[in-house]
Parts: sequence; structure tokens; C-alpha cells
Amino acid sequence: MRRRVVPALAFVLAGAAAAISFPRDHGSHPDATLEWWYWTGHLRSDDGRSFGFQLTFFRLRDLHLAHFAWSDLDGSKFTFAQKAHLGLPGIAGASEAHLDAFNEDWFAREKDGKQLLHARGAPGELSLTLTPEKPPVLHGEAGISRKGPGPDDYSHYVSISRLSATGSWTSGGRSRALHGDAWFDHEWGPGGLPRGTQGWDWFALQLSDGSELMLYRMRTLDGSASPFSAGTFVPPTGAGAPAPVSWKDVRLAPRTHWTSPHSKAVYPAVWSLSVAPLALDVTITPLLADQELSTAESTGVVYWEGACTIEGRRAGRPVGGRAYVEMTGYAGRDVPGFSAP
Amino acid sequence: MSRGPGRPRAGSGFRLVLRALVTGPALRRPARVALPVLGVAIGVAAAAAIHHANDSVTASFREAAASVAGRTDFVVTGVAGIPVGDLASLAFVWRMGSLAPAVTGVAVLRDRARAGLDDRPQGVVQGRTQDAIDQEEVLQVLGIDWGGDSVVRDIRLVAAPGPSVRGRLLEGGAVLVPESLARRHGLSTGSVLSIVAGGEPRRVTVAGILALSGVARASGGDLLVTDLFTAQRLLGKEGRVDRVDVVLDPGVRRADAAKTIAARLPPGLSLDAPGRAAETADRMVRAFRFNLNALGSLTLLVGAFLIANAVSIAVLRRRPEISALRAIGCGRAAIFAAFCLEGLAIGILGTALGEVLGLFASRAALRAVAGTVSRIYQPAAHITGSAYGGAVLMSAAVGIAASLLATLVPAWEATRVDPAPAMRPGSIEAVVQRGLSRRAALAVAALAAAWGASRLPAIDGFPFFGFAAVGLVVAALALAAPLAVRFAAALPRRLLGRFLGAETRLAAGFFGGAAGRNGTAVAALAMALGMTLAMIVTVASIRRTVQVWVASTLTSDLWIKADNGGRSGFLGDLPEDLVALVRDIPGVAAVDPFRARDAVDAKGRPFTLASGDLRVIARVGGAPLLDGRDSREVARDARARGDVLVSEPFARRYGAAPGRTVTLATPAGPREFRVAGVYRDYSNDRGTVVLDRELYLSLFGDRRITSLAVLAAPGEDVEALRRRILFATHGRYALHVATNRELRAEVLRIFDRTFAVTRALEAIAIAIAVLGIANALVASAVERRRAFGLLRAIGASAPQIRRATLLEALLTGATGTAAAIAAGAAFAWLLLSVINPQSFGWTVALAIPRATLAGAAALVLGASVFAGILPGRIASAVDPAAALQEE
Repeated sequence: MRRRVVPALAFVLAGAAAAISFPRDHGSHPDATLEWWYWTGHLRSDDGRSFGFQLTFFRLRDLHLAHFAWSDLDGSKFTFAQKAHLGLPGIAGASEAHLDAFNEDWFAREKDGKQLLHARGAPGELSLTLTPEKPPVLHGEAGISRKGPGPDDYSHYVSISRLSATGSWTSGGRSRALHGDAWFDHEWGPGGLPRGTQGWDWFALQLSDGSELMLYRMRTLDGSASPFSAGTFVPPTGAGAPAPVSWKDVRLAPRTHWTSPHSKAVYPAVWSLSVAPLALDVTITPLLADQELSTAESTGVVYWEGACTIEGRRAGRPVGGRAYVEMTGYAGRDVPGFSAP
Repeated sequence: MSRGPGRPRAGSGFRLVLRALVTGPALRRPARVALPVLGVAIGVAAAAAIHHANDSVTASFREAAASVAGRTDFVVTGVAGIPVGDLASLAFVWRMGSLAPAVTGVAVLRDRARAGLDDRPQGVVQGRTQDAIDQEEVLQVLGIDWGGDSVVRDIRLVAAPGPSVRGRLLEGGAVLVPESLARRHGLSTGSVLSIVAGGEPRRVTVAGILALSGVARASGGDLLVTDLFTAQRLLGKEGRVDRVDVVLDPGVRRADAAKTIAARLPPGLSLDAPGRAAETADRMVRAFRFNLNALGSLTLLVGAFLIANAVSIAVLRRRPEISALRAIGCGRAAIFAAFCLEGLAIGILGTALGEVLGLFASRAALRAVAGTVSRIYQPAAHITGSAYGGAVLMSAAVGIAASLLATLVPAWEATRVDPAPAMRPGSIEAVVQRGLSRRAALAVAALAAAWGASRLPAIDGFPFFGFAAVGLVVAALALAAPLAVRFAAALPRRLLGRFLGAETRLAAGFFGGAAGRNGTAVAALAMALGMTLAMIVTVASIRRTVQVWVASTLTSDLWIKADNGGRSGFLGDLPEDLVALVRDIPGVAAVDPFRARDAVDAKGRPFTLASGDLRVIARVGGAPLLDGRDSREVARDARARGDVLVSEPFARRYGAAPGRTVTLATPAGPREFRVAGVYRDYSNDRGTVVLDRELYLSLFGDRRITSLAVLAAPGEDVEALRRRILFATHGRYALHVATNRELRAEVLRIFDRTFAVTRALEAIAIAIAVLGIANALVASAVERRRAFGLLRAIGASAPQIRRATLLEALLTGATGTAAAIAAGAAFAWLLLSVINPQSFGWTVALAIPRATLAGAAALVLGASVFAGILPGRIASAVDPAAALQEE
């Protein structure tokens, strides 16, 4: 994979200009090669069933992509749909002024401080209203998240680590009311996977004590974590500011593996995670083994993105929670959106 | 049950009849059957070839439209393209289906040799054959939303679309090229391609190779697929798309969806069924195709006359056998059936042979027709041979049916033969003679009907009744031919009286004595030659008219258009900034930016929407008005009042006249315009509406130009000015600059090439007709063997007999030619005053190319005398003793 060569100055300038402000920076950044708006969450229907969802709007230069995955945890069924279009009015696009991304009739937009999501496809039709429970978190240094040693190995990275969700899911002619929690990620930057990296494992943990943890492990070609792996801990409301997590303090190891029947790729399944400064020691277990997306029609890549459950201890007390885990680069070296030269 | 003696069983009896009347004679003299078989074969071949060529044009249009439309249910188009912003108002469609926007256009591929010779646009391409340029170098450009386009179009990469293909497409300026194009030019992923698009030289990178299926196949592999934004940039269509295809979700009712979408379309946009584009393209060439079909049918008609001729000769020759058969109790039905079978057999044999000949002829015809279509109507059209099967079925059906029909009359005549034995051959002529007055009455009736038909208007722009009138004239010709033969046979005696030599007297006797049979030959000849003469007059008249028109219209000194590889017509358009650049070149007095684009009316009929700087017409004229007013004043007023000028074909088609209004669809919705004047225009038969450029820009917002007319300052050397323009624009634009003289020559060159197919068909028809004459003469010579023998016995020399036979041939040819001139006058009148105005909408001044006409007539006359040589030999070789014995 060839990488774009951008002078180091660009990184410095990008960093200097990165006074991130909202709602502007929830909108699109056309100067960035790659950008995505990422929602994941755990939902429960009125009739007591559990679901996980992922809705992502990607933009790679002029190309707008969208993925919608639905994990029916009680029905043990995983389905997804995808869209790809050039950015054109009425077809696909994203506003530069505020959060307003769309692809066909899927959309994610901000209205009165809430985020409205809508997607439709094989998984059914999902409409959600998300209310942020915490302010946006800027990862890395003031929102610039380093992914590797090169000048282009970074992204602007913003999350809202907990949003309460209400809405509905319609499938097979039946409509169910939903409620639950969601996580919002927004990244933009030059794109391109750092040299010597084969993929990443990303974790979004929403713990039952009201705290959240974001972690990503950049995986080198030999499978070990690159020094640019990092994370952010968001304490419960009122318990302080978000704080970066240094990879030195993280112990992360897969305990079991799962082989995809579709791509034959072997993914880690159950993870053990401990972060010493946070006194966190948990096991992360997929709620459904097969949550693999094979998105040949849009991004052309294969990745695992799924709902998981958390069990363990924090600060000496038992803790539970919900997580979403993304694992890329296991089925060949393609990574979502990173297929540009 | 006992059978009566001498009464053969029906089955074996019919076999007997067949053997006596048909198979026996045919086997004894196969040459006599061969001639009509050949005639039918040529007719069928011509009809099949023309039909196939026309079929291919229609099928190619349909396939091209279908492959671009793909699985689409509807196509949204706009009068001035679709502003990208308007797509937002179509977003609601996603609830019921998908949207696939596309940008379309053409580009010219520059090969490496030419790319280095940009500053020598003239002459550079002259060394290459026009066909090579026509076939290879025009590429269709299709810009798509490649992320989501697969829902509608079949665009497939040879290899799986890897990250590099996507990456290159994302970079912009990259194209996908069909396998065949890649092979021809040695292209692979990453190759750089030099093209001319939108009048500017461009370079694009090959991002991937397309499999030759779907759109790539329909374009014949002459295609560049690119992302929509790159296509917009290449073609100068920023901010616009040309079409949006709508594919409905399964289960959505088309009719409901159409209603919903149509109701919410922004003004200036329209929703059509996907076939509409093919229909429109087809309509453009419809008149041309129809004329070709008519000519193709003519050759078949001449072939049918040959069959009638052959069968009636057979009937005449076998009168004794018929009499004998009748005497032994054979029924009329059996005789009728036997001759019908003969005609049918000739028809089937001829048709079979014709289909084989047609296979070869169709290639030539397809090349010629495709060349004309791409030169005149659709520069980027890719026309491939469609299945030959349709043409085979059609021409076979027509060939066999025509053969059978042609047999009916002579076969019926055979049933009228009395059972009385020993009737002399030829006395059937008495039957023909008796029917002469009825024939005359019918011929007059046919002519009257033809006149009536010629007064009827076109149906949907189609001169059906005009062609019907031609058919009726042909019928009248067939009916009146024996009369003409009788009249002509009597003429020598009447004119020369006793000064007539024995041979001439003899020849006239031979000729007039067989008015029925010679009538058919004469009719066939008259029809073929008459149509040819009429076409000669028509073509010459149109050519002369165009010549005069060109002289009065082409008032500018230089014309600039986008370089299109030395082709005639326009390929792509030019950016507006060229106008200011050229205007400022020293020696340029004025420029007239001309814009022409294809438009369709509310019923889907194509016309041309054009705009020019009416100030230039107001200054130098150049739009000759039908009513003779000064176009300068009219143009001045039209510009001041926002009126339009319309071309004569447009005025005819839509009943537009000065002072009336026409309604045009504009991006802001329909709008009425007052017609300031109707101008003569022979450049297109669809009809043109011309707006002043300022008005056009304000309404349509389309700033591109199609061509730029340049007026040189007084005393300026035009050649030098051309060089200055090319120098000033070199590198930035790829232009073709033509001088006034070159353009005039070009117009006539296009004209002549267009009528090349017509000429070939005429030649074929005449060849068949001359064959017919030879056939008739050979038959009569053979038949009159006894008479010749008698003549030899009473002292006539062999050369005398030969001369008499040649004279008979001359009489036949002369009668045919005279009838042809009469028929030709009628055909020419119908073509020029009825068919042409109805199908093309042009006023054409009559021009009679006397020398050409005389030459054609002399050629035919000479050919018919030549056709008398073989019969003369047969006649003079008769052994008097044997003949007498027979007698």
C-alpha cells in the first residue's frame, strides 16, 4: 500500500489549527482524506429483547460510504447493510456546518442538541434519538490522536462516550420501541494505515459504574501492539475530566479465538483487559460470535464489529457493562476506508 | 368402383400437369428458369441487406440506450442538463428506489502520432482513411456515481476491483477503459491517455480495464467510464448531470411511482421511460431509413416483375400443352395451381439464393448506412450488425409472397386457354388485347388515386401517402405497359410508312404481337429506370438548393469547432472563454458563438435548440428568410424583442410562422416565444429554433458553445488569420478551424456521401430490369423458332433475322425508356413536392441535370440492345427445315 507523502509541516499546522469547536467540528472536514461518524450501542426493546447496533457514515475523498449492522442478541442473528455513493445532493453527503451526514435515505443529524439516526436495509428500519449524557471527549492531544510515527499517521478524534437512546426498530412488518445506550465516534484525517501496521483492535467500554474507556491497539505485522496504541478514560459525571491512558499500563490479551465461516479469518473472541492505574480488571465477551462485516460493495473490506459484555472488578468492586469491539486487518490487510493509495 | 377411362386420378393427374407444364420445360431449359431466379435473388438480397442495415441502426440505438439505462425504470432529464442542486429534490425517491446520476459526452482519442502535431490540424488526418477515423477514434464518455451505479448499469472490471482501482478513481482524472480499447492501444492500469474533450486536450490515467459486457459492449468498446466529477470537468459540465436513472425497489408499482415522481420534479426536468432515448435517436434517422427501405423494396418489386414476366412467357409457350391437358379433362384449378407452383418455386429458389447474396451485400450496406448515420446524425453512434435473422425472415416473406403474387395473373390467364387443340403460341395475346381497354381504365384510376394520395398530409411526420402514391404510379405503369407496347409497335409504321425496311417491320410485328409479355418487361424497366431518373433529379435538385443556400448562409470567414479527428459534424463542444480569446486576436472583426443542442418536444420528437449572437446576423445577414425579408432587420428586431427564428423544417413540423408563438421547455418551465422569422435550413431535418445568445444564457444558463464563427477584418488574409488563431489557442484548446471554402466543400461532400447508398440501389434495380428485358427477348426468340424458320425458308437471311431481333430489343428498350421518363417525372414530382417536404421539411428548387439523365437513359437503351444479341443468335441459328417440319 502506497502512502501519501505530506510534509511534516502539514501535521504541525493541522495540530496548530486543531482548535476543535462544536457544532462545527461535528460536521464534515473535506480537507481530510478520510472521515467517519460512528455510532454503536446496546438497545433493549419493550418486549425485553436485546440488540446491538452499529451505524457508520464514512467519507473517503468524494466517496461516501455507510454501514448499518444489527445484532439480534436473543435471536442470535447478525445482519448488515451498506451504501456507497459519490457525494452529490440528494445522493450522499455531509454538511460542513454541523452534524448532518446522509447516504441515500440513511442519515445522522443533530437537532436541538440531540442526534437523530435513521437507517434502513436488510436489518430492518432503525430510527433513534440520542441524547448526550456527557460532553464530547477530545482524544489524544486536544483531539489529535497519533496512530504512528509518520507525519500523516494521525487523526482528529472526538467521542461522546455515552448517549441515552430511544427509538424504534421495524422489521418484518413489526415495530418495536427501543431504549438503551450508545457511543459516538468522529474521526477525520489523512487516512492511511501507518507503515508496518496490519490493523487495529478498538474497544469502547461503558462500565456499570458510569465510567467509559476507549482503547485502540495498533497491531504491527508480528501481531504485537505498536507504541502508538492508546486510550482515554472518561470518569463518571462529576468525578473529574477525561484522562489519556498510556499503553504501558494496559494489559490486553485474547483468551479465545473464533474462525469466521465467511472469510476464514481468525479473530480474537474473549479478551482479558487490565489497566493498572484505573484498578480495572475485566473480561470482554462477545454477545454473539459472528458479527463480521464483509463489505465488498462499499469499502471492500472485512472486519469484525460487535456487541460484547463486560465482567470483572474495578477499584476492588465487581463491575459489569457493555462494550463494542472492532477488529480490523484479520482478513487480509484491508482496513475500513484505508484502501486509498 | 370403376374409374372412367382417360380420366386420370387427381393426384397422378396433377403430377402429369406439373410435369407437362412446369418441371419438364424447366429441366429442358434451365437457363430460362435461372434468369428470374437470379432476378428475385438480387431483389431479395438488396431488400435483406437494406433491411438488415436499418435494423442494425435501430437495434444499436436501442442497445446503446438500454445499456446506459441498464435496469432503469425511468430516466430523469433536463432541458439544459440537470443542475446538481436539483438532485436534492429527488432525495424522496430513495424511499421507493434508487437514483443513479450520470454525465455523458464524447471525447476523441488522440494517438501518439497525432498528439505531437497539434498545431497542424488541417491535413494531418487527411492521410488516413475516413473510415478508420470514423470507426476508432470517437469515445463515449460516461461519468457515473461509481459507488452506487451497479444498481442500474452493467459495468464490470476484468479483475476484481482492488484498492488501486478505487484509489485511482478517488484521485480523479482516471478512467476505466474496455478491454478491446486497451488491447488496441496497448493500455494497462496506470497508462496515460491523450484525449480531446470539450475542445481541450486532456490527459487521463487508466484506473482499470473493463470487461466487454454491458455498456462497454454496447459502445463497441469505444468508451471511457469515469467518476462523475471527472466527466464534468472533462466535458465542461461542472455543476450538472445529464441524466438520473431511477430504479424502483421490488414491489413498487411503476405507474404510482411515475405519478409521484413526476408531481415532485423541479421545473425543467422531465421523467421518461428508458426507451425514450433510443426512440429519439431512432426518430432522427427515421426519414433516412424509410427512404432506404422504400428503395430496397423497389429492387424486390422489379424482381417480382421478372417472375411475372417469366411465368407469363411460360404460359404463352405452353399453350399447346395446356390445350391438350384441358382436352383430356384436366381442370382449370390444376393448371392454375401448376403455374402458381412454378412461380412459388422460382420465388423460393431465388429467395434462398438471395439470402446468401444478402449476407455479403448486408456487410457493404451496413458499412455505408452506419457511416452516414454517424456522420450526419449521431457522431458517436456505434452501429453493429444485428442478427441477420430478422432481415432473412422479412425478405424471404416478401420475396416469396411477391413471387406468388406476380404469378397470379399469368396463371389465371393460363386457365383461360381453350381446350381446342393446336392453337398457335402467342394467340393468348388476343386475351391481353381484349383486356386492354379495361387495363387502360384501371391505369387511369390508379393515377387518379395516386394524385389523391399525394394531396394527403403526412402521418406523424411520415409521408405514408406519398409512398402510397408512388406505389399507385407503379401499378398504373404495370397496367398501362401493354398499351405502351402496342402504341410503340405501331409507331414505326406510322412514322416511316413504306420506307420501313423488312427487318423493322418484322421487329415491330414481333414486339407488338407480344404486348402482354413485353409489357411486363417494359414495366419493370420503366419502373427501375423511372425511379432512378427521379432520384437523379431529386438528388440534383437538393444538391443545387443546398449549394445556393450554403453560399448565402456561410457568410463568416472561419469556423472553429472542437477538434474531432477530421470528422464532419460536431463532437463535443467548446468552453466559453474561447470566445473572448478569439475576439481579441488581431484581424478578427467579430465572432458569433453558436450553441446547438438536442432537445425534445412534449411528444418526444427531437429538434435542435440553438443560440447565436443575433447582432452578427443583424450585421452581415446569413439567414435567408422564407418570405424574402431582410434577415438583418428581422434579426435586429428579434434580438430586441426576445423573439426566436425557426428553421423551415421546424416551421413545417409545428405550423410555426412569423407572428405566431412556439412553446419551449426551459429550466424555469415552459415559455412562449414569438416567431420573428422562418429561415431556410438544410443542415438538419429535425427543425431548429434559434434564440439570441443573451436570452439563451439567461434562460438556460448553459455557457458552452458548439462552434464559433469568425468574421475577418476587411482585407485580412484568412489563411494568416487561421494560423494566428491556431497559434493563440495552441496547447490550451484542441480546435478545428475551417475556412469558408472548406466548409462549403465539406457540406457538399457530406451530401454526396449520404446519397451513395441510394445510387448503389438504383444501379441494382436497373441491372435487374435489363435482365428482365434479356429474359423476355430470349423467350420470344425461342418461342418464335417456327416463325423464324418460316422466314428463313421464304428467303430471310440470318443477319436480317438478327437485325430484326436487335431492333425488337431496341424497341423494347426505347418503349421502356420512354415510359420511364413519364414515370420518372411522376416519381420526381412525388419525391420533391410530396415526400421530401413531408419527411424533411425542405423547400427544394427543381434542377434537371439533363446530361446525367440523358446518360442514364442512353446507358439503359444500350444495355437493352445488348440484351438483344443472344436472342438474335438463337433466332438466326434456327434450321429452316426443322422449323418447317415442326410447323
